[in-house]
Amino acid sequence: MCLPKLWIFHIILCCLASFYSGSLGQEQITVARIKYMGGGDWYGNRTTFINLFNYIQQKTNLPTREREEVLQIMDKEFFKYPIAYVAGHGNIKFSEDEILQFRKYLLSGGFLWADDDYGMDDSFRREMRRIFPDLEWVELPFSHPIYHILFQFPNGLPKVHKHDGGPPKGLALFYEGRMIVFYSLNTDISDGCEDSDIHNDPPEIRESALKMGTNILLWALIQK
Amino acid sequence: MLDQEIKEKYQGIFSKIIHAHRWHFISKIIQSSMNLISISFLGIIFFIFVNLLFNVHAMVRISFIALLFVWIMVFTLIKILPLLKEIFTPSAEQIFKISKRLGQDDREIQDAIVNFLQIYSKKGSVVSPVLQNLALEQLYYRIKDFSFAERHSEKLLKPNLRIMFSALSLVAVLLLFIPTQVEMAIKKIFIPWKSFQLPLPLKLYNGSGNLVVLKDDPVDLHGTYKGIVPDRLFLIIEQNLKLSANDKDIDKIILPVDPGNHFSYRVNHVQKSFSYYFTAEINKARFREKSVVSEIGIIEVQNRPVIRNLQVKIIPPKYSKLPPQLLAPNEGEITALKGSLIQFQIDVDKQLSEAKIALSDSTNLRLQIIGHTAKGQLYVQKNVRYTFQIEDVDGIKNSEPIEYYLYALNDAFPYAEIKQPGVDVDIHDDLILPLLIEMRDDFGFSEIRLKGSLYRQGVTGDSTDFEKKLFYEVLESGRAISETSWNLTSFYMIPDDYIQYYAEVFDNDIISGPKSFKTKKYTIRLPSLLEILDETAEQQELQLEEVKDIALESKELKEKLEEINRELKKEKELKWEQEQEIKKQVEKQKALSERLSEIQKDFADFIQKMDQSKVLSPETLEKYFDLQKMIQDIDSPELKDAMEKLNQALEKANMNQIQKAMDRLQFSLQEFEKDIDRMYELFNRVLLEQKMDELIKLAEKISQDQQQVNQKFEEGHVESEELKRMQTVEKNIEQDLEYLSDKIDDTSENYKEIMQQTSKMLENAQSYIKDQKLDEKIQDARRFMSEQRIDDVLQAGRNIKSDMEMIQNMLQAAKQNMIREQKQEITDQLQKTTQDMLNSSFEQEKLLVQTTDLHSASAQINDIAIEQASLMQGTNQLISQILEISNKTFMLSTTLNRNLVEVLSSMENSISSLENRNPRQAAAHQKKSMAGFNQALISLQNSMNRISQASSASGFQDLMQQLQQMASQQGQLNQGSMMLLQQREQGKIQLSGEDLARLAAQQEMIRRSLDDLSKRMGSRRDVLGRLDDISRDMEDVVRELEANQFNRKVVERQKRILSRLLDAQKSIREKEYSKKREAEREIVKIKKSPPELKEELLEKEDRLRKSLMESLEEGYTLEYREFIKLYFELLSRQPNILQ
Repeated sequence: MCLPKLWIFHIILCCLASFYSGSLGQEQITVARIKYMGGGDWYGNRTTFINLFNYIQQKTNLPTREREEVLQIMDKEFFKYPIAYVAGHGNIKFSEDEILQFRKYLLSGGFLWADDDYGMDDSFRREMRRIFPDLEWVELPFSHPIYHILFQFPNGLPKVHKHDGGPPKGLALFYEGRMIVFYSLNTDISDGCEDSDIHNDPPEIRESALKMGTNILLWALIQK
Repeated sequence: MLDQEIKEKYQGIFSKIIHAHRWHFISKIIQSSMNLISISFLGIIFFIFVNLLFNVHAMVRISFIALLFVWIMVFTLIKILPLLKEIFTPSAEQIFKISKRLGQDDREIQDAIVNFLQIYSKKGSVVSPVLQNLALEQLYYRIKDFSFAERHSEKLLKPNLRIMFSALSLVAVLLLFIPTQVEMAIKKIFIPWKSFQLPLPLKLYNGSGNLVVLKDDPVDLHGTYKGIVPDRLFLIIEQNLKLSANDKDIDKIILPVDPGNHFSYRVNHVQKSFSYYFTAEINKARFREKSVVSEIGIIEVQNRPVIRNLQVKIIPPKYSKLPPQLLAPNEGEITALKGSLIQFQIDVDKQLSEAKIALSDSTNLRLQIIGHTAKGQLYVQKNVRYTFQIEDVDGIKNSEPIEYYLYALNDAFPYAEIKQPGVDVDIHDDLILPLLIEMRDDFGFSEIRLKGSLYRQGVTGDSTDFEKKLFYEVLESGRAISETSWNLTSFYMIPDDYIQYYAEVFDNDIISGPKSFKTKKYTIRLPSLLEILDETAEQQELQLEEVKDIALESKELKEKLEEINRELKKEKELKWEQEQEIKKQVEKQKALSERLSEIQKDFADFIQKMDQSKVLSPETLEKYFDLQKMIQDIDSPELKDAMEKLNQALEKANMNQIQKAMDRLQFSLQEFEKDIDRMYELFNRVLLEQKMDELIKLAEKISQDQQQVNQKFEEGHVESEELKRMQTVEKNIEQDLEYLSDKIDDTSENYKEIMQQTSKMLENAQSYIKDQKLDEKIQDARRFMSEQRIDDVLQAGRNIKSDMEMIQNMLQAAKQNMIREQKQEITDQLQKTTQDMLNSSFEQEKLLVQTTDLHSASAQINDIAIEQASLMQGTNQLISQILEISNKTFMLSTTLNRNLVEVLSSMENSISSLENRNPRQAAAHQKKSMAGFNQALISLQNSMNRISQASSASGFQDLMQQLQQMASQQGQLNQGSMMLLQQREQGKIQLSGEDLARLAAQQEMIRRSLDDLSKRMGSRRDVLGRLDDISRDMEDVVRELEANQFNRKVVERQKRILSRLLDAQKSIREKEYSKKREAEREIVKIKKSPPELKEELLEKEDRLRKSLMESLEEGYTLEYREFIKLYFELLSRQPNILQ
């Protein structure tokens, strides 16, 4: 991204911070963790968002909730959360109703961050194909603003955990110019954001995961 | 004495009378009491009847009780108390009365007793005591045997007892028939203040009574009623039996009233023990606020066994090397790799008698029981649901067990990618293809195989499949690489044959069997030499054109800038148009630099390609390196700096600075133009020299091909397919020869003007081809082949081979001659230039000596200035000479010219100083001029040395060959070592000392070869770089192997040795060419950015708007158009309308 664009993003970020913390409302950043069926561990990474929200507060002054909310797609409150999050190691399965509801959510302005904990890739892609049979995954170039919105990732997604080996991939689904799903694959940003004693990641790895997590949430909030 | 005796007797009689008196009164009291009781009892019975018949008000009842009480009190006071008093203090009157009554049946006795009492009582009277005593004595004897006991006491009690018995009997009868009412009536009398309702004409019976049920089981509570049909029926359930009544949780459940006297209620899931009863109500006014209650029943709940804790441990299959995973307590949803062992442990709140896991595939897994705990394990095979079914020692089973899911994860398919070459390639003459395959799998690999087919030229469908096992090295868990140099010699490929290959990798899944993945297929093609040469020629032509264009544009640009510069010198201020023009020219220059940079890259690619194809000789390749380096030098830092300075000056709009910057840029551009011209000339010259290489290579190729054919036929029986192939090869040879012949003619023609002797030699080679009628020989060979005249084929083949070797030698000689001629020409010119420069330097020194001693007023100053000017002219001549030489050779450094330009500048300054009569300053400039000459001379000398050395590089090929051989041997040794290490690690083999000794011997052999080479290299050892390091590494490996220390470290060291041997080859090339080159091997870029997003992806595709626009263009009426607009607006407000 060229320098002026970067500045524009930073200005938007400041506005966003003032919006969230100012008189316009006491909205706090949070995400809806999707409780899905199929047997996969939707409940993993229990400390991820506690740490990530804390980090965002420290670094951006944006107000955040203490942790994420756990919701099912069919819950009425689900639509109140602009960002949804899905992760796990196992099988993901959405019901027909959930498929329709989720599609509606994403097309209505919702954003999904999917983070592969290593093992959900096949089922997640399968379910997303059910939701959006017409959309194709696109690997984001390193120049994409999601890698630069606040913290700089000139080489794209940071590598946190080994998983399949090889480089991590930042995939996305776009609908009418808007990124509706960001899928971080083969790295495990969520694990990286967990308490340091859970995965014993080196501090710099953990820091990079928190930074990337911050970028993802900020991008979800301010993308046009 | 007598008195005393009488007295005693009297006392005895009197006591008996008193005793009788007491008994009499006691009887009276009893009789009175019985009367009291009887009357009271009758009163009460009467009042009971009243109460039975009427609803007696409480006040009446209280009054009755009060009256009863008063009656009892009064009766007692009046009747009983006086009697009591008489007992304790009997009165004389009563005693006499009693006495009289005692003798009621016997008159005499009655009188006697009365007399006795009278006498006795009047003893002290006037009556004589004796008489008294006598009287008493007589009386005594009369009544002494008389019984004083009361005789009619029973008669007193009987009537009363009869009354009481009758009353009680009546009450008992009533109680028997109407007990409730009687009981109620009694209660009403004795608790008069309490308000009593009328009993309902209804009775409820609890039919269920007390029960023991299991927790969560249903229980039916039922009962019946007798009497009138109740209007409302309730079941009252009281929880928390142990608590007081007030603390109990009471549920009141309305029951339907069944006219059939029965009622019931089902509690579906009993959780806790409770008591219950039924109650009924009737709507009639008199029963309002009254209810009937059944007996209380108690339901005691027995708990089912419950799993208090579930612990699941997943032990993945060994091959996965995954650590065991302990799930969180009570987490029963399992996701595990197929083949994983799942260990279950459940803790139950009761002693168990049986426990099992019921699987959804109808199988059961019985668990081992230890008290309250049950354990078991199963292997994951497929997706399955399961429940725990347990039974306690009382035979009670758990209810509604939780259903868990067990998801069997499949071992993922492996993945492999051919990273190098990763594209379809043309193989080179060495027929070695470096392969780098990256493999990935979740848990590891079992093997990798290289598979494919060889397709022969011109034979439809003729293909041969091949397969070979590759070695691989595990880098980290789930990732490995296989690196090999694939030798394709065994395929005997001829031009236009091609191989399609791929790698197939197998994972180590021992549960479901190894799964495989096939990489993308790539093609290896063996291009014909002619094809390479044509392609090369075309490419070079384009490059030459490009250089020419750049040279022309550079000239135009320089002239344009000169023009601007001239104009600027007339102006005081820079005009906007001028500024824009300058900037435009600077941008043009930048564009030229970029184009040069592109040419440089093309050169690099070309050099690499030519190096691999071995078409060009090392000498020619060296010249291309020089050209490449030259381009780097052309785009000099000075030029860049000059453009930067000009830009800065333009920004500051400082006219003075702009002009200086323009001057400087102009100078740099002049240099640029000269260099470009020189490069163009040199490039042309190299292209001519290259032709000679191509001729030799082509001749060599024809010779080799013919040798291959000859070899086949010498081997004996040739199959028909093989024969066809040989015919094709022979045909290729014929074409190649024709091409060679044409090329020799062309080259000879081109060389005619510049190198006559070489041209002549080429003509001789051409004559030889014609004289020997080589083309006819080849045609004969083909004909013999078709006629299967093997001996004739062999004979013809040998002749052709012999002739081709001759031609090859002739061409080689021509080339040597060409080099000699070139070298001679350049050396002669350089020697002449050196001599001229030396003369000029001596001249300059002479002038310096003269100037140094000169006084400013000396008349010699002008003479010296004239001499200096003459010397300057000579120097200009020198520069021209050097320029001319530099167009013929790369050996002259571009700095040489710059040195001479500086010399010229110093000379000019010196002349100026002399003209200003400043000999001192002039001498200083002359000194600089001399220094410049010296630098230039040194540079010239170096160039001559380089030319001399360049021609003596005849041993180069031999050196390279030996190093390649060593690298090949080391590669084979490394592969062997790696294989042994892997097999030992997998436990397949045990390595013996002999095995290691064999490895050590092989390593030692390579080390000795290296040492020999090193010694033979002598003073040129330096070109081998880290040769000594390699030798030391080899020694270490040998030592460790001899000490039976064979481990991964040794293998790593061997890899380093190979790497260094390969580096040494590169080092030799680089040092031999004195140029830096980029590494040949493609760096596997693991992480590179994906391509930029397509613009349409980021565009907001407003399909509605598009549709709207399309609709509006359909030619509807205005009114209709408005409707369409409105319709689309409404649609667009709905969020998912675009789905």
